[in-house]
Amino acid sequence: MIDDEKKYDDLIKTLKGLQQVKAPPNFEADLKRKLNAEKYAKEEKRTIKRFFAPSRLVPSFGLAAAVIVMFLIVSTNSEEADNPFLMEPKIREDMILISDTDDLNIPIDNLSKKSEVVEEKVIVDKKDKGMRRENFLEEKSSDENLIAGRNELAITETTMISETESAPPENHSAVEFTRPVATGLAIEKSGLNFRQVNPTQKEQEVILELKKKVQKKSKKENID
Amino acid sequence: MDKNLNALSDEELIAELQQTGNERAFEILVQRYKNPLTNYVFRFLGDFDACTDVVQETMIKFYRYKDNYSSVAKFSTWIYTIAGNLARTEYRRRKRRSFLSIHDYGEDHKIFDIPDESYRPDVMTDSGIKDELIQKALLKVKEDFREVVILRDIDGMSYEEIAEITGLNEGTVKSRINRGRAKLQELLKDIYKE
Repeated sequence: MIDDEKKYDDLIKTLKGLQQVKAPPNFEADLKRKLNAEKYAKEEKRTIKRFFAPSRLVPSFGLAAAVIVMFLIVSTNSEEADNPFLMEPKIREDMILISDTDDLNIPIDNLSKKSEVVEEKVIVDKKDKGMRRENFLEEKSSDENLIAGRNELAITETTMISETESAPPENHSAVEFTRPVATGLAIEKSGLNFRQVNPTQKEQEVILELKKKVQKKSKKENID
Repeated sequence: MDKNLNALSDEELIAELQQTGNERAFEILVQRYKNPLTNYVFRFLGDFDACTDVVQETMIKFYRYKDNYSSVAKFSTWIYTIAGNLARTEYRRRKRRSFLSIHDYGEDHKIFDIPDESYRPDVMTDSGIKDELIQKALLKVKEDFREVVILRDIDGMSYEEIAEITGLNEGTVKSRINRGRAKLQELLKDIYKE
């Protein structure tokens, strides 16, 4: 090893004689600045970590949840919501309202007959009351044509009743049709939407009397 | 108080820093090692700005990991190890960057020589020129050999210390020093003729 040192003696002397490179004069100031910046960054990280620590987030989340629950409770109890007890009941438009059974010209037994008969009677009934219907019938010129063309009548009936729907309400005393009556179809009991009532004996007697009255009336009218 | 701290050895100063957190102990150690480390890193890298950054980074790491130092090793060995590792990392990074940039300039993957304008004989003195030539020769030596040659022949460390700093055994250190010296002598043969 000593031989090696001697072998490179000149080189070693040259290398040892090299000028010493010194640190720049502002070395320590720069170092302090860097260290302070690092400390500041560390503290910032710590504060961020502390701020978002789970122990700190729990109360804030709880508060937020409480606010949401309160909001939901207040919004459901607001006055804007409809009170079902104060609401007006909905009127079923597909129901036929009959105010007085005496005015009804159709015998109950004949209800299951073909609707064509009903159509004709309805037209006659309406003819007396509505001005529009009069005009309409005048345009048609005669009742003969109406009876002859059954198919035509069926169409005109539906258009006529739909016209009455759009027109302002009139004082109908006997019958009110709110929907067009289907023509060419038989009215069956099973298809009707009516309430079944089990009348008492007295009520049944009253009904029978009424039935009889109606039948008598219809017979009279047929004879006339 | 200050006089007492200046009289303390490196190991005593870092113990003071570890135990009491006395910033003055750190400042004294920085004062003691800033120039030797700058010289070592500059001879290894050949760039003064990069060398200053590496030494600053070494001091920051020393401060940050001061509690990791154990009194088993010498303080000088510990801080030279940190500086050596950082210098090697920086050297490889620069090498990789310069390699990529050369390829970017060339067409059809031709490698061009970058003109060196730092060498100015009209400005530099004789000793300055000699220093420059030696530094250039040092940078041509393989980095494994260069590191040990600098530690041994420029900083004057023992084989044992170098072995500790580099993490090699003493035999490898001696072998590398010899190979580095041989290469350097070959590169500097014209200087010795004069």
